[in-house]
Amino acid sequence: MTLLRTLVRQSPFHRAMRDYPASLLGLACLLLLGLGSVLLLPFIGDPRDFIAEPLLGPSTVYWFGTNGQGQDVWRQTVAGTASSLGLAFATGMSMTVIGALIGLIAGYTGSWIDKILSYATNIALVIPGLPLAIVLAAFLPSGPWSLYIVLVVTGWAWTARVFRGLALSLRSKDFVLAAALAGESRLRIVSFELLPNLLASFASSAIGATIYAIGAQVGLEFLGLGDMNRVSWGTNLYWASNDAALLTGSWWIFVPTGLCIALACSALTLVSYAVDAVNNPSLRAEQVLNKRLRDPLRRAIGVTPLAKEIRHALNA
Amino acid sequence: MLSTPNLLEIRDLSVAFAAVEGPDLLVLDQVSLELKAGGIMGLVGESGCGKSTLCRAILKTLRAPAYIAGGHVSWQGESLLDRPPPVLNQLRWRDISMVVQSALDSLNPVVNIEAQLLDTMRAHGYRNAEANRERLAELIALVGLEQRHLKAYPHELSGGMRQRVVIAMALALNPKLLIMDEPTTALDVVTQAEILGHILDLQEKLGFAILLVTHDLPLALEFCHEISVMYAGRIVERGKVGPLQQNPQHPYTAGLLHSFPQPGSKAQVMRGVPGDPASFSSLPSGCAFHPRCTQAVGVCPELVPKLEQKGSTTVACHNPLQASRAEIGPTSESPKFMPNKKLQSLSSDLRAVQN
Repeated sequence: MTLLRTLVRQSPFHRAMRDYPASLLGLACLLLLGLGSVLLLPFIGDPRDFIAEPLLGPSTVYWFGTNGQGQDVWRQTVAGTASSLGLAFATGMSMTVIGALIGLIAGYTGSWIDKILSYATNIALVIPGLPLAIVLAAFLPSGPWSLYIVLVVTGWAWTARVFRGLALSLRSKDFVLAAALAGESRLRIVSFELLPNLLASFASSAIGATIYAIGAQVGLEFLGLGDMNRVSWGTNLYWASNDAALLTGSWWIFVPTGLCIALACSALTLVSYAVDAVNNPSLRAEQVLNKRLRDPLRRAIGVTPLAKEIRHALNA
Repeated sequence: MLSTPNLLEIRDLSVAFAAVEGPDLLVLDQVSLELKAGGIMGLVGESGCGKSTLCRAILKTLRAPAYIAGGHVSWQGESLLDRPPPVLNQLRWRDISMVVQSALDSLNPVVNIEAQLLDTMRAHGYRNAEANRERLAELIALVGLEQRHLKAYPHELSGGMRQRVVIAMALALNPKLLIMDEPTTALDVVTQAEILGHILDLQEKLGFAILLVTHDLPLALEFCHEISVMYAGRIVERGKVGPLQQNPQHPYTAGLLHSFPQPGSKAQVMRGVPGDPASFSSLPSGCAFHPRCTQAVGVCPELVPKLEQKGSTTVACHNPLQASRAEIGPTSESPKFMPNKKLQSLSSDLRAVQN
């Protein structure tokens, strides 16, 4: 246990989290949304039940009011968060894993494998993602799995491109050559020499992909291209629009879902600050000094600050 | 000589690194230096003693977490550290330029030499394309490269050629002071002699001052007029080359002098300096050198010695070596290092052989 604790303490992610309290806040928001919705799910009852008259405003009985069909908006928000966040994480992760694998293989092996994979990546990059997603989503049977497939198919290429570049630059480093000369196998070089260097990039790619997955998923469902019997952020918004929530002034139908989407995406962005710090350790030195500057905003780039611009200089 | 004002004057300059936990690290402790126009000053010390930090602090180019903890830098009688960044930016490179340690890393690999040199000139307001081209041709000849090298990319040049390019870049705006931070560390000795000989020639011709940072004391003795020896962020001894070499007073200077063989003298045991360089995170009390010092006395761990003129050099030591060089090292009759002109002819002979 203590070993685990020291390992966690020494990990660059832990340190970055400590240096960037905003990232910690982001992580807390994500946990609150994700865990909260999943834990509440068994207790709230079926979100599709028609429980009261339509378009009731928020009250002590129905906290978030009811929607145009008389369903409980609170139940819909909780169930929508659980399903949408789950799908977003699953697709974001898969997009990144597939993209990173293709990029790594292409960049590290080179030769004809690289040619084929790069060609495929480039083609995937130039095809406009959202229109293709719309066409695919309309074509495939509606449901979470087809959304998952649509998003992964249209979203893996950027990650592949980034990781191919990373692998190319790492491959030419001396420590990789030294490992190869020492007789390490290709698999070992990729997993023990290259991967640790790519973890932070992987994390930031995964965060970006998850944000994309949330946006694209909600967008497709809002357009009516998802499974309308499922409760999710996108279908909540779709039904809100369908029931003319804006025209009738029933804001309580779409605001909770909208806030959840905004909160999830901002939280992910906040977490990515800490990931950036892990990616680029010299940011840490900047941060240590900036914290101590009397007026960080006025600091000129590339100019060493003087003691008088620093609080408690030399606190020895 | 007394009437000539100092070109660069550093007074009690201190630099500290902001620490996450615990007290900040004082990596430069009240360092003072003067450099006259056309003078050549050597800054010598082991790796990590603060030489490069001093160079970068002069122009306020130190990166976070460093900050300047105190002291003054004046340039031609005017304070440098208080100048606003845009003024500082114009002064950097035009008045004081710098040759950094690794030429490979300081040249952009995807831009050719000509464009990089032109960029330097344009950044400082030289916008006349015709004049710039002429200056370029002049510069490239000045450092002994051919005109065709202007179109080359850094990877097409050898290490020595790249270093020449960087020197040409440093001289592009006719600076009054050239700071060279270990300019030849990555080069073999033949190229090193060639390049430094070249710089000396240029210095004679153009009359700029040089601050040479090196861990190579023999090189500094050969190249400089005056030498400052640094240890753990402080200057421990300063003096003209002759007295410093013949009669070093600080045990550290003497140790450095005994760390390399003297050409032409009999085989001798090289004593070096025992122990490891001091670490800034646990700096010894008093004189930071005392744990490694053969001359340490009772007061050494308690009091930081002041830099004072004693005899022929200025030294910061409680118990300086008074003995003549003969007692503690090779005899004073041991031949001096080859004069620079000889070095040059040697390198041109070598070149002739190579061709």
